Parts: sequence; structure tokens; C-alpha cells
Amino acid sequence: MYSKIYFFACFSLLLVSTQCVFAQKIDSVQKVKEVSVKASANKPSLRATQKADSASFLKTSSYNVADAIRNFAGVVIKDYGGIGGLKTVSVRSLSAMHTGVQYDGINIGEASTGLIDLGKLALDNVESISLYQAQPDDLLTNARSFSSASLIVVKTKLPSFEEGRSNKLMLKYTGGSFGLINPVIRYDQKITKNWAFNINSAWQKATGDYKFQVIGDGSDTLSTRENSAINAIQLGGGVDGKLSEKSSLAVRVSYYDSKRGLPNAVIFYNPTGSQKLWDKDFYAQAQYKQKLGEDWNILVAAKYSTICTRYNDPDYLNQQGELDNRYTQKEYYQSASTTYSPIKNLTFNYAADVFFTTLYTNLYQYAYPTRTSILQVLGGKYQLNKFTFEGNVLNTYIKEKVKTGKHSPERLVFNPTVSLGYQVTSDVILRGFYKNIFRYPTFNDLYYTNFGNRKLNPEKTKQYNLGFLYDKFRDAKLNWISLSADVYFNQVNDKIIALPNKDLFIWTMYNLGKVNIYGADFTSKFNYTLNQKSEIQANLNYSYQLALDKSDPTSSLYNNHIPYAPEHTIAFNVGLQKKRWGIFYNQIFSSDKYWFGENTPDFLISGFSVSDVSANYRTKVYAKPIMLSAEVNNIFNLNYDIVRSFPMPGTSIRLTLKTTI
Amino acid sequence: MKTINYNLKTLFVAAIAVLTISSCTKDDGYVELPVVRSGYYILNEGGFNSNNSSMSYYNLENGSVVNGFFAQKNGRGLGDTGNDAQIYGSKMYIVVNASNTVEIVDAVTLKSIKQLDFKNNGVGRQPRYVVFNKNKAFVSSYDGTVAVIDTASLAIEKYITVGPNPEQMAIANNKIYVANSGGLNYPNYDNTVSVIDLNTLTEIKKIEVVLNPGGVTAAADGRVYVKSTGNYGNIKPSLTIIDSKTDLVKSTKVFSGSGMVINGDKAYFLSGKGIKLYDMKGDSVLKDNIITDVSDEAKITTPSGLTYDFVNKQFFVCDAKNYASNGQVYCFGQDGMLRYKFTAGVIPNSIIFLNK
Repeated sequence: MYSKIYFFACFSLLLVSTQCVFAQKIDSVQKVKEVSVKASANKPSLRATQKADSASFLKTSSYNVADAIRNFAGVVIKDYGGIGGLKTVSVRSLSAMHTGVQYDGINIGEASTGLIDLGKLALDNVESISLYQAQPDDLLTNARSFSSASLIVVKTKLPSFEEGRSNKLMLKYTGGSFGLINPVIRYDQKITKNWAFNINSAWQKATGDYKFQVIGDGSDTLSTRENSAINAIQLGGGVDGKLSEKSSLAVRVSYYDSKRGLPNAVIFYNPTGSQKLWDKDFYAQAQYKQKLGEDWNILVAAKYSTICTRYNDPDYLNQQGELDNRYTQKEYYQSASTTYSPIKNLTFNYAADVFFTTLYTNLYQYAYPTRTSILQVLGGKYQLNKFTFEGNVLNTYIKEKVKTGKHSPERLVFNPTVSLGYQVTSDVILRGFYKNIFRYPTFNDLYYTNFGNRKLNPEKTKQYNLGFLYDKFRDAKLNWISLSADVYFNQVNDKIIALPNKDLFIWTMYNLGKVNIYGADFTSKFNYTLNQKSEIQANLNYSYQLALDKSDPTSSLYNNHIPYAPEHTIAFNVGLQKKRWGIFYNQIFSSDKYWFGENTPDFLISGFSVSDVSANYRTKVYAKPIMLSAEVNNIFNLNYDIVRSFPMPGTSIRLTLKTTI
Repeated sequence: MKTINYNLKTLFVAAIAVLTISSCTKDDGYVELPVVRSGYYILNEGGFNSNNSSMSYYNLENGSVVNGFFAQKNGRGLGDTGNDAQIYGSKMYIVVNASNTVEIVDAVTLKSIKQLDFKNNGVGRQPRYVVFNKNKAFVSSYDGTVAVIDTASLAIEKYITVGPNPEQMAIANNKIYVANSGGLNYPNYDNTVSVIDLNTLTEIKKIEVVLNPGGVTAAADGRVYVKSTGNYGNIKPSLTIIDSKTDLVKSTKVFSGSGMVINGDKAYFLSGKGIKLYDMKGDSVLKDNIITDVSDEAKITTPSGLTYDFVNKQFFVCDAKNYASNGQVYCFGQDGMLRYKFTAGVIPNSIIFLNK
């Protein structure tokens, strides 16, 4: 069925594109601009921002958003393994639910589990991915962007055209291990001088199976990870344009539909599991930007999104002979933001978001909650000589309604963020920030039948950060050096944890945890010019994280490492980029970690050091640019787990052919 | 989901002891030898999806503890979610729920003799508990069956169909009483106890009890005590007493407490943070908690198992702690004072005594 939909989509796309090719007027427009790696260095961030762009995706053998950010300092990807395996990101040892994800200008709302699967987000349409601590650098943004401890901002590619062209067709095909088939089409079309649209589609199909070694069941042969197949299509489109010199509109629609096997945890002597997961995600959004004179900027946005999930376990031993759970989440979102600069060096920002989130499930006696969230942020940025001050207060109001039982209490919370930067020299900036924020309990935390606790408080965090950035371009062989170091202290209070209640049969959520996190992030980037045509690019990031359980001084877990928090992480990437080809080596090292609250050797997951190699080659065939890339992941075929009982694949390859017509 | 039936183990050990004793007092004039414990095993359930179910051994001679004893002896792990273990003759039967195996091991060396597979066309049956009768082992499984294993050939001879998601079993009057929880049919739990005739090895009837039965214990006089969990809502946890002679329900009352251990005409239940004392003659609670030790050392966090050692007259309480660390085992004397405690594996749930 998927292939049919896909081919229909491709066919329609081709049809549209051929018509457009004939219909096009030769019109001189923008020239395709290669994204400069150096562009990010313009405005040094006050809050240790890290960025990866489309050029770096190739270097780090990245296939999805999770891959692309795994090299960032302070980031730990929780990867359940394989192509369809859940991939979430935890930043600076705060759980994944503290990381917000903004895609195309508006945040992804996941109120049911709070977990956003970054493995689902492909890179085909992505221009850049930034990781912000505390808040985004750009103040003209919605209030929700200020509501998480860290924020991943994914920017998609805007339509762009070669000189004299008014359309562009990008065709890409990726194939490789796990039976992966992944064709991608994107078509950009100019409508008028100021308007363009694009449509894109991708199909991803893989059998997903891979070999791995079971440790501890006495077997010495390799086992096969089964039930890992995925079949997904993604369809999207957008219209971008200028209404006037000072105003612009961006409209996007996107649909993602997938069916995947959920391979069970590896259970000794029982290598079965037939659970399936279906996703149907849709969103439509519009953003309108207006400049009012020199001082005012306005951004208005609206989004409607649905996330439909179906989980099925055909081996479940109930009378129906299966467990079939369905969840439909809907969000109606609107936002207005503005920045005002009354004088030079001073900017005020204000944003207000209102959104409604509902969750429908087929769970017995479900509460069917509707959450109303009103977020407002008021802040400003002031530059005085070498100092930059930035500060804001976020006000959150949340009210819920339920169809059965009691709803969670109404909340009104204020959270401040303050940042300070000091420009020591033109190349060196000292920076610091403080933020206090929370993650709101998810619908599952609050309302999951017999499991949720409607009285839960938000899980609160405090972040303190001090650091420096040295960033220098030079007219020498070593033409770019960027070094940064930040030390931080994070504290989590009222951490939401599940514990069995008094009759032991049912687990309930409680606000019982407290965690102290002491850490340091170090990042470095170097560009070394060999000659006019070739350059060596290298970056090395190191993170130290000491995340200690401070919940109960009388418990044996007190001062133990929290689960899944490796102390040391190193990401290293080096490569040679020539005009036509490049070759890169990527290394991720993660030290031992515990998968359990208690830190004894029984509960240790050994660290790993995984190496990937990628190569890319650009040429022209019939004057059309062709790019070939090959990636070999886990080249030393390491057998390792990131999440206990969910083994990662061994060596795998991926080949990509891409052209633009 | 694990429910507990400690008295079964005790009862069984008692039965063995009685057999041993009676065999010693036959006409050849032997003096009655008291049963002496050499130590006991602790079955640790392990974490969900963690493959870390394990066996600990406590040596009563020198007070030493060996954790991970099964893995040490067999070079492989027990698997995921060890739910029940019992000794019969020279062998121990360990029921490993999520791994869908029953490990049959030498009771002294713990070396595996046979690993029985509990899958039906590749789908796990999810074995739960084991009881024994006349050279047969009976294993209840969530797929609605009770498997009959010949303790000589160690082969599964038959699957007896019972109700949905059976949990514990008890033997009385040549019948097995099986609690059909229907736990996986939430919210439509089952409310029956299946009765299996031990001669024909078939289900002969179903007795209606309170919703969601899990624990079954047989008293010496033929009464069968069935503990139901209810529906966590309007139907409260209850205790139903069945007369195994007539298979009629004698009484039903709201009752909280898990696990049931019988010692003479007294029974003990695990409740809250202590041990509830129950009088079986009057069928009433005598004391809400017999633990008298109020020291921090004796404080139990999350009770996960209760066993009574009728030889040394001691109570054993397993404590799963916070489910994020290894659990502990507490030994209490008759006076309710803590004798000793030690750290076992993750979620200890039962104690299995080993005699000399």
C-alpha cells in the first residue's frame, strides 16, 4: 500500500515538474549558494549554541536528526537500535522531556509521552540544526521556545533556484544495509518573483534485521534482531513568499505515515516479539512576519497538528488475542511575538502563545484530557560597551479539563532566564546564564489509567552555566579556530519517577527525585587549508557529566549516578575536503554508564567507541550536478548497547546518489 | 504483577519433611531425625526486560551470601522475570516468566539439568507458578493452561486448559485449585478458580470467587484460601474460603494482605510494611503487624515476599527497596525482632529452603 501511495506521489510530482519545466519563464533569480561553514561565527552565543548544517551531515554519516546532533557536546542520544528504533536526546543529563524540538519555526508538541523520536525526522529537507541551551538566540520567536531547558531548532531548506531558472527538481536515492530503500524527491517552483513553493516526498523501507551477539545466555553464535522492518512515507509542501518588502509568509504542510516492527528487548531464551507501531502525523502551519519601521518586528504563527499512534501486540495473552492501543493527539496552536528596539543596542521582546492539546485513547476509563496552555515571555537584550545583558521572564498558565475523574490542578508559574556576555577581545567572549524552568507532566504521567497521578507537580530544573568562546578567522593555513569551554551545574527537583504503590500491583508516578548535575562541555573546530583546492576540517567535542541522585540521603542510591548518564563523551570528526570529493572519519566515544539506579558492576553498561567513515564525490553528468556518497557505520563491527537489552547494529553501509535537475 | 504464595513452598517443604520423618520412623526402629537446614535460596525476579533474574544462596552454617549463583554455576543467566521456584526431590524447578522457560536444576549444585521451553508456536505461554503431586509438576501459564511435567522424564505430558491468565495453584483433596486472574483482560478480570481432578488431569469445574484472584493456599483441613485483588476500584481485595470437600464457597470478606503462609492454625500475610497475623480457627485477623522491631535497620521499604521457616521458626521478608537497586532479605524471629538482613538480587520474591 505504501509503495502505491509513494509511486502515486512521485508520479504526480514528476507530472507537475515536467509541466513546469515547459512552462517556465527564464528568469534571473538567486544563485545557489553553498552554505558556508563559517556563517555561524557571526554572532557569538551567550549560551553555548551548537550548530550542524547540511554540509556537516555528510561528514558525520548522519541519516536523521538524531545522528546529526550526536556529535554535539553535552548530548546523549538514547538509541533503541536499528533504523526504526526510537531515538531521543538528553542534553546535559536532563531527561529527553526537557529538550524542546522546533521544526520549521514552530515547536513539536508531544504531550502524551513527552518523547520526540528524532529518528523519525529525516535530513533531506533540513538546512541546519541548532542546539540552544536555555533559549534560542533569535529573540523574534514564539514563547514556547523559552519553555524548555534546551531547544533543538531544525530549519528546513527554503526554495532556491539557479540563475535563469524558476524550478528545481532534486532526486535522491539512498540504499544500503538493513534492506534500506529510500528515494526522495523535492521540487521547487517559482510562482512569481516573490513567491515560490516546494513539494517533497520520501519513502523509506527497510527490513531492518541485523545480527548481534547475545551476552549472558550461554550462546556463542550471532542472533538476528527481527521484527525491525519499517515502511514510511513522508509528504510535504510549502509556500514561501513576500507580501511586501517588509512582510513575508511561510506555509507548510507535512504528513508522515509509517508502520514499523517494535523489536522486543532481548529476552534470554525467548527471541520473539511481534509488536507493531503505526504513526500518522500531520501538521499544517503558517507564519507571517512583518517589519514595522526600523524598530518593530512582528511574527504571527498558527499550527494544527495531529499525532496518531497505534500499538499492537498480537501475542498478548488476553481474550481478544491481542493488545491494540490507539492514541490520537491534537494540538491547536497560535502565537504572536514581537521585538522592539527603541535605541541602538537595546531590544525588547514579547511573545504570547495559546494552545490547546487533546488526547484520545482507547484505554479503559480514560480521562480524555484537554489542556489549555498560555505562555507569555517578556524580556530584553542590552549591549553596553563590551557587555551584553539578556533576560526574560516566562509566564506559564496551564489548565486542564477531563471527561472522567479529577483534572490536574491549574498552574500559574513564572520562570526567569538571565544571560550575560563579556567581549574580552574581538575573538574571545566570556558568557554565563541562569535559567529556571520545568517540564510539565505528560498526559501519561497524569492520566494513564491506574498509573497516572493527577496531582503531580511539574519537574523543575535550574541551570547555571559559565564559559568562554574563542573564535578566530585568520589569513593563514590554519584559517579557522573555534574553541569553547563551559562549566555548568544543573539541578532537577520534583523529578517524576514511577514506583509501585502500596499494593505492589500498580505503579504510580511520584515527584520524588532530585538530581544534581555537574558538567563541562568543550568544543573545538579547526579548518586547515592545504592548498586552494583542499582543506582539512576537524572538530573535537568533549563532555563531562556527573549526574548524581540526591533524592533520599537514607537510600542506597544516594549520590549514585543516575541511569544512562555516561561521565565522559567524546565526539571527534576529521576529514579532507577537496573541491570534488571529501572523506571523513567520525568517532563517538562514550564511557561506561549504569542502567539502574544502583551503581554496582551488575548494572553497568560498558562504554563504547564507534567509528564511521564517509566519502562524498561531486561531478557533473550532462551538465547536471551529481553527488555520490558512501557511508560505512560502525566500521569495526562493535557489538554494543546504548539502552540495555536493545543491541545496536554492527557494521552497515549506506550509498546515496543525488542529483538536481 | 507477581503475587505471592509462600505457604505453598513451606507446605511443600513441610510435606517433604513429614515424608522424610515418617519414612525414618518406620518399623526398623530409627530415631526421628530433625530436619536441619543447610541454607536457602532466594529467587530474585529481576527488572523488566533486563534479563537479570537470579538466584542467591544464603549459607546458614557461616552466614555467607552468594548472589548470581545460577549464572555462576551454569555460565549463563537465568533469564527474565523468575516468578517462582520450588524444590521437589533432588531438583529445583525455576519458573522464568518472560523467558518462557522452566529451568530444572540440581537442588544442591544448581546445575541445570533441563531447560523446558514454554513457547507455543513461537509465542510465549508465560509460565507463572509450579506445584507438585505424585511425581508430577504442574506449571500454570498465562495462556490459560496448566502444564503437567513428569518429574522422572522431565517432559511435558499434557496441557490442561483452565481459565484466563492463571496464577497460583494449591492442592487439596486430590484436586488442584487454580486462580484464574484474567489479569491481562483488564478491565474484564476473571473471577473463577478452576478445579483440576488429579486422577483424570482435567478441569472438572470452576468456582466463582471475587474478581481477579491470584493467590491460592490450601490449609491442612482441606480449606482453600483464595486471595483476590479486585479491580483497584469499587471491588476491593478479598479473601474467599472454599471447602475442598464440597467445592462450595464457605465465606468471602474484604481483606488486604498478600502472600499467605500457614503455620499450624495460624496464617501470616504480608501487608503494608509488616506481617499480618491471622487466626485460621476463627478466621479473623489477630494482629495487624507482628514485627515489633522499630529500629531503622528493620524498616522495610517495599515488601515483595514472605516465607516462614518452620524449622528455625523465623520469618523472612523480601524487600524490593525502590526497584532501582538490589533488594534485601530480612529475617525476623518469633518475637518480631530483626535477626539479620542481607542484600540479595533485584526484586527478591521467594525463599526456598535447602535441607541437609
